[in-house]
Amino acid sequence: MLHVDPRSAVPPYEQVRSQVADQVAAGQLRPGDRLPPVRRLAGDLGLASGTVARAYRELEAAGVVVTRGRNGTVVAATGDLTRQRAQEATLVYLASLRRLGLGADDAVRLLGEVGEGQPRPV
Amino acid sequence: MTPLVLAVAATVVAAVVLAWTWVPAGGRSLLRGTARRADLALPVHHREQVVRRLQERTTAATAGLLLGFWVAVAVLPPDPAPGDDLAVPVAFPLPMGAGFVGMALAAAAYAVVTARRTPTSDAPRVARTRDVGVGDYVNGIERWGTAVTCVVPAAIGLLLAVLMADPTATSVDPLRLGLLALVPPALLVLSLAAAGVVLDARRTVSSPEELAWDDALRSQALRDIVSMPMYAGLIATLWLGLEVARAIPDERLAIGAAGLWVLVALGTMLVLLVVVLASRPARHFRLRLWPVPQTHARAGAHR
Repeated sequence: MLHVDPRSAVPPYEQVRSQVADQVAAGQLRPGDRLPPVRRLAGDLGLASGTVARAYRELEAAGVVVTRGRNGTVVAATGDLTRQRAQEATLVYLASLRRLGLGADDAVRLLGEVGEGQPRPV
Repeated sequence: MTPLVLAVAATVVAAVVLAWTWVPAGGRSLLRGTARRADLALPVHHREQVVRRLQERTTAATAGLLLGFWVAVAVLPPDPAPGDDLAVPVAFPLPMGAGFVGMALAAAAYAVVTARRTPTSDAPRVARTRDVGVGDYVNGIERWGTAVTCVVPAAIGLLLAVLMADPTATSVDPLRLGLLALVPPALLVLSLAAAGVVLDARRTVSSPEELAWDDALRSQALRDIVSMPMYAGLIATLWLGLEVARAIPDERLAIGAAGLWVLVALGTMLVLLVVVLASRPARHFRLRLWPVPQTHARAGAHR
């Protein structure tokens, strides 16, 4: 979800750029997810197409997204892939514990207990 | 009961439905029904706009249904021609099918027209970060069902055209055959274009709640658009089967085949209807775009 306030002191292109970057970093947008076309997003946000295009260009320059011609702009597969995979593994783990009626605190405690008995990677 | 009597009865029912739709209690009932089917919380803000859009859509759909119904009744002969026993099996399914096609056409036209209304506002705006397509609003059963129901009459038409190369085998009016075989695929192409217009339309929303309800109405509009070629395909398939039966030289056999075909076709349609309704199509967009149940409108979209 993108929120753009035209009365904010932050330029609209920066509002778009930073929110997309944050969502990619937080894993809300995943590699391969397609962003809306420039014209459509500009229309929805009440911005000029050039404003959204500038935000997309800066995101592309930062390696957050890539433009694939007719396929549009998609979230790049680059970035911290290890961290993303670790987050996904953690979510699977938490879901398994939730099915057993355990919460996040139990998860941390179990990780500590089990981790102590495991050989440490070199 | 003749088709004419049925059409008059349908008109009276439609008039009552329309009158109810536009009274405040009827509007609230429409809103609650939509919220229940989509599993959405009732809108706190913009409630009047949502109710107005639901009322307008219902009016367009009802008017289209009546128009389709009456056009079919006007086209059908009031009494079957002597010796044309095949007119009896089509007397009721065709006006009803035409009514559904009219309903879907009118609702789709309303969706396209309103998609072009783009009010401007300098209030803070909200938009979805991820691109969305028809698949986010219309479930696979409806999308693929539509494709199949448009391909079937085209395939039957092609088969009949091949058979007609041998004039002794069968004879069907080529113009009618061409129309029945080609109109559903043509409507499918038209519906894809109409869906593109709806998806590309600017959305001026300023809160997640407003976006969720706009999604609900957009889902309904796209489902109307998708159902337009589906109804046309079903009715064309029904009609083409009757044309095949009509071409059978033995009259008794032809009547038996026509009756059996109507039964099979209507039974298949009934099964399709049950399958579609069981898939809870109105809830599809909510599960795809608003995975946090019930409270999503206040909590915000997942992405």
